[in-house]
Parts: sequence; structure tokens; C-alpha cells
Amino acid sequence: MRSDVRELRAAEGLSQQALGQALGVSRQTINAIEQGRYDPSLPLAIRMARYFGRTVEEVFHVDDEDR
Amino acid sequence: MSMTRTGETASKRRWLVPGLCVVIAAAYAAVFLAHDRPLAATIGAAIMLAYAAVLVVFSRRSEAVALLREDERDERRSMITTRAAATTLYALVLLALTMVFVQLARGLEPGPWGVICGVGGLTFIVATVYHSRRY
Repeated sequence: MRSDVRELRAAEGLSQQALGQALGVSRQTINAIEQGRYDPSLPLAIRMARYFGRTVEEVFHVDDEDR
Repeated sequence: MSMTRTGETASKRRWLVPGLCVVIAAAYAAVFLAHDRPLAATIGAAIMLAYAAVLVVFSRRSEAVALLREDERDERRSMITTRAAATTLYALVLLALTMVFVQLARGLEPGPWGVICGVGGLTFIVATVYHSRRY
């Protein structure tokens, strides 16, 4: 699943470590989400979206091939 | 499991696996020494202590080592641990089943391998029923 997490994090001037700490996950998990290697759970996706003041749909993008 | 757990609990958890390794090292040493095998006692304990040392020293540098140490859990790390456990289970099931048929082919009783297969199969069935009702 594609996401705008990297762009949103960069816009906030946050490191992966800092974002991970804010969301209660590891730096590697943030990196995996940004790389599209790991799809976060719904609660984590909602927490991330709320953190950036966006909706889940604005942060995460489900392509047809992801279904 | 969230990483937002209290710092004290998380700190205790970080030392659980290394501590268990030390306990196992002591158990190895005690059992081998009781059978008058000092070399085996030394090697067995040294392996476990070295493993504990690797966990402590490298858990901050390697995520895989951090996972082995049960350090800083989150949902992705829990998933990785679950999948690693499943892979381990497949290997053990394959080994146990193979050994059951090897024993039978030799005209012998399956022995402990049969017990492992029976307990494993029963546990899997019970766990499947339990989790299917829970989720």
C-alpha cells in the first residue's frame, strides 16, 4: 500500500525515530511503512493520520493491485 | 502490543530473554557437572552466555537481534515474531512427522516423536477452535 508518510514526516521535519516514538512504534516500522513493505493496522493508520491532521484516505492509498 | 507500555515494565522485559539464557546456562552447567562432564558443562554454559551477550550488545544495532531479545515490541514486530514462530513450527512438525515414519519404517514404535506429533496436533486443533471463537 502506498502512503504519503515520508512526505508528511519530512514536511514536519521529523526523523523516523521521532515519529516512531510519537506513535509508539519502532523506527524500523516507520521505515517499513514508508517503503510500502508493511501495511499498518487500522488503529495505527488512524493514529498516523490524526497525528498529521489528515484522514486515513489522505495518507494511505490503496491501488487496485493491493486488493 | 504497544511500545507505550510503562518504562519500568518494558525495561524488565528487555532483560527477560538474556536472564533466561543465563538460567539455561546455569542449568546446562549443573546437569553436565552432575554427570561429571566439566567440558560439556563449560561449552554448554559458554554458548548460552555468549548468546545472551550478543542479545545485550547488539540489540540496539540490529532489529533482528532486538526481536530475539523481545525488545520494544510493536505490531509489526509482533507479526514478525508470530511468522518466525510459525516457520519454526513447520520445521518441527516436518521433523517430527519424518521421524515418526522413519521409526515405523524401521518396524519400531514412534516413541517420543509420536507424542510430539499427537500433542502438537491436538494443541493446533484446540488453539484453532479457541482463536476462531475469540476473533
